[in-house]
Amino acid sequence: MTRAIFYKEWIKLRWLLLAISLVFAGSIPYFILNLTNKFRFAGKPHFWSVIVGKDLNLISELTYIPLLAGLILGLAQFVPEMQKKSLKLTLHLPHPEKLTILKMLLFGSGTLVSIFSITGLVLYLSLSIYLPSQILVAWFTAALAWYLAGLAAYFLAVWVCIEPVWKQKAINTLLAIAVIMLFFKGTSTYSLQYAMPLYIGIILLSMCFPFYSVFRFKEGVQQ
Amino acid sequence: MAAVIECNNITHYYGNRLIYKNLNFSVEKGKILGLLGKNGTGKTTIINILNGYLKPYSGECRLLGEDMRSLSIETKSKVGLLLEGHVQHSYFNIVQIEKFYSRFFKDWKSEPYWDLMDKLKVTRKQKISTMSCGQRSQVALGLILAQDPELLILDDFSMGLDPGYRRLFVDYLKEYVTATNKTVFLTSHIIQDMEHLIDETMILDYGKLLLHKPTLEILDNFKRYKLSHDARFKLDSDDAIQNLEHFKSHTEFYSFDTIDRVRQILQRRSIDTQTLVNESLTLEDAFIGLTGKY
Repeated sequence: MTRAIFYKEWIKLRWLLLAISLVFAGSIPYFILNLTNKFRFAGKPHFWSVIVGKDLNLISELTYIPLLAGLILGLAQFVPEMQKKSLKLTLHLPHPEKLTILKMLLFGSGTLVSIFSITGLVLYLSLSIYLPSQILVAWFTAALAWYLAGLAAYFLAVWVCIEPVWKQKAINTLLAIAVIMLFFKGTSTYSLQYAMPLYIGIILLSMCFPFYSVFRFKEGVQQ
Repeated sequence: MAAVIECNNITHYYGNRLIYKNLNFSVEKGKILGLLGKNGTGKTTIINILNGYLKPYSGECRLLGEDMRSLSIETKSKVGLLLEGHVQHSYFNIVQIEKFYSRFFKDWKSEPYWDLMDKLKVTRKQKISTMSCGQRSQVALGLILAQDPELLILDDFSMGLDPGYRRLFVDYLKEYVTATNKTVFLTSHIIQDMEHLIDETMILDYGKLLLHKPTLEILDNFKRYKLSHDARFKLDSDDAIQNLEHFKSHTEFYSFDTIDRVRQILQRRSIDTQTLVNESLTLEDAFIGLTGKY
């Protein structure tokens, strides 16, 4: 039955997952070309001194891309379930309801993490040809916060999407925006590494929120 | 006979609006019960309560002996659910959706599904989202029949269907249910075709259950009466006469009583009954007679 649930989610999301993968995969040659161009025009020694002296992060254009990916994936997965309340069909399957939702969330978050991990790793390895690991570790520590924001955005988007009452939906949206903003509060590459436990805590907590929305949906809460 | 559905003292409100108070009914195995009512009388609300998608203000329902709030996996596999508007996962095509559902039901029978699909003029790769309402209704029905459930719950199955698809749906369902002794609980606001399908009729009015009787009993006994003159009289609250309407040339009303009994009632009020006649009704006429036109 896990395979059946994953099959359903795959059919629903495969084109979007392909598009997200292409965006992230496409960012790899973009960042490499960007870096090599800068080396060519400014010279390697000068550009390295700029990176270290000004705490420059050359992959900062990635900042909001994982967030958008998580948000779009969460909505694309659960808006069809809420259209004409077809989530009732999913919950009516002879399979434990919480487990069904958990498996749907695992599919969404799992594919998101896979795309982030694989493309992030390839980007890291590609850039390591040109830059020392100390610089890359600093850049990717900052990027980890953006990737985690993407994951949190996914769970929070699902939470908002399933919520059956519009007023509560609006409140949940505001709360979700406030939570997401925490992931972008760091100003330097190094400042975020200390916030990582907090971010992971937020993600674990936000994983639970969709189950509360499903509970309210099942209760038929209307106001 | 065992009750497949049993609802006791269901009371529900939307805000301050009472939908029903202390609603009681049961459906026996092998029966097709039609819940009829005008828009907004709470037909879908009952479906939602039955499936555990709405917590009523008070009261309880049992499906196949289990509390609606905590249906086991085994019971869920025995209940086929059709949502209002023939909703299905629209990103699937007809092959994919059959493949998906078949993995959840151990008694899955593909034949009735493909029988119905062969009647549709759709390709195997056509997405459900691109199908007409009538075609979607056949996909949804086919999936329920393949599930081979003991109980079918069909919410407003006639919604959006043209007469051809409605008849196809009714005929196919009737044939299947009769052959397999299934129990069906369905709602509809279109009553044409219903009298050929449902064994028992429940009619909801705003805030209450108006009637729950075998359909044949309604068709045999509930009559429209006419007096060919405008006889002015008022109804008593316990009167056997219902929905009295005065027209320029005649007076019309409905009753479950025989013509002799109705004549006696009218004569007690000194009304001339020489022109009194009655006529048999279709279920739709009976529905109008019971609930009124407004």
